Amino acid sequence: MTALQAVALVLVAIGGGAVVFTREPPRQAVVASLFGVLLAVLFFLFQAPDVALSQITVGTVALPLMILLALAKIRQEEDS
Amino acid sequence: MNVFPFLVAVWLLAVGLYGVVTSRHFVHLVISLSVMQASTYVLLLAVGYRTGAKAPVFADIPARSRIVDPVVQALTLTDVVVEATVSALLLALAVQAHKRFGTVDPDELGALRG
Amino acid sequence: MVFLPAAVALVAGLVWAVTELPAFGHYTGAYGLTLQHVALGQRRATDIVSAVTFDYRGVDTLGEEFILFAAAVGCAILLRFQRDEEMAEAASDRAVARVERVRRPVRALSAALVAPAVVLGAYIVVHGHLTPGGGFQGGVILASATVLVYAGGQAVAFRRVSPEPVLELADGAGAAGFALVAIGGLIFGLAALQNFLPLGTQSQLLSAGMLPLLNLSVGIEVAGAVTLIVSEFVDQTLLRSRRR
Repeated sequence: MTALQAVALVLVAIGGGAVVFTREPPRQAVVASLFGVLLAVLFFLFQAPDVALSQITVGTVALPLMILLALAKIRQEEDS
Repeated sequence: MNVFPFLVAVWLLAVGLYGVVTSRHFVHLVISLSVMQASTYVLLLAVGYRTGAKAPVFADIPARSRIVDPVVQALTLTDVVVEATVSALLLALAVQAHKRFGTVDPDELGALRG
Repeated sequence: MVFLPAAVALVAGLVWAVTELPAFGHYTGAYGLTLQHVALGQRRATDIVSAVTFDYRGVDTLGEEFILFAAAVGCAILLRFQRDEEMAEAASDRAVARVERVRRPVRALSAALVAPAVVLGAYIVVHGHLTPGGGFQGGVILASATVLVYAGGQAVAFRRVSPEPVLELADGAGAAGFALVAIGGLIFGLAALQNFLPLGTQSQLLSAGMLPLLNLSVGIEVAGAVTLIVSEFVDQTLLRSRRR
């Protein structure tokens, strides 16, 4: 295992903990997007470019967008 | 050192599970679920890795070189996209639950009412 | 707290299981090692992962694609217009107000990036069997091109750029296309999902038999499904409940 892979694994482990322990959902969406980028870097280092491409597109664009839209709708319902 | 990636996968699963169980907001629960899903991707890719091997794309490397396992990558890449849409389904459920019951706390969404 | 002892037991069991795996980097599976030697010659596809996804393990991808389809349909059903909601006439005002609230550089950048995103998505879908990429990744990139329109503040334009009948057609057509190509094997007297098109020469766009067709249908379907889901959520933010 190369040093880069070890560092990436440690960062992913820390990122996973950060995502769960951020309690407010709007902030958690941003942290989850960052976690997605860290995962994509890890996948590149594991010689998996297809999976990294999937993770980048989904984890940084599609998933945080849907989370923020759901939160906007929930807050809209609470305000009205 | 040669079980470290697997231990990271187990850690992600445990942390995600803790987040799901102790969550007080439905959206927080869905995001913790995505952390649990990430643990399976890390595990699969770590199982398929070969030291010193290249990515399984023969476009620019000689046709006889060593590559990492392509089967686990095929499983993981369809999984990534599909689990995102399943998370979207769960978020739609959260939105509708909030509309019906006025709360997004999973603990209070206990009883199913007609 | 019932969770803590159960979690400790689960983690202990997993750690014990994981230490029995072959050491990291010493992969010993027979399938992968065989594929390394035969896949390029058998399928003439240089991206072995795409060959595995759509050819060797095409059945799994068929199942995954229908999970995607079902999730998109489920979202559309869950977020349908309820009887006591209306597309408020304030919705268009709200959309216009939103356009004015978004800063000009954001709008300019979003507008400028739509066309490159479409081109990039199409390129990745079409070259799926040659370089890393394929239907799934390219489809999400195509969907994010329409999402950029929404991010630029143009909620109304988003509706026009991705009208719902077109999205549903794309979603259904993609899923049906995959199933039809799978059945095509049966029509030509081979097994289902078996390759029935000529393999061609490697590293050309029209090579690897039915792989480009499957990539295309999956790309259309994923783009349609993801855009459909996002547009359902966007519609929800434009709704107003008649109860209040």
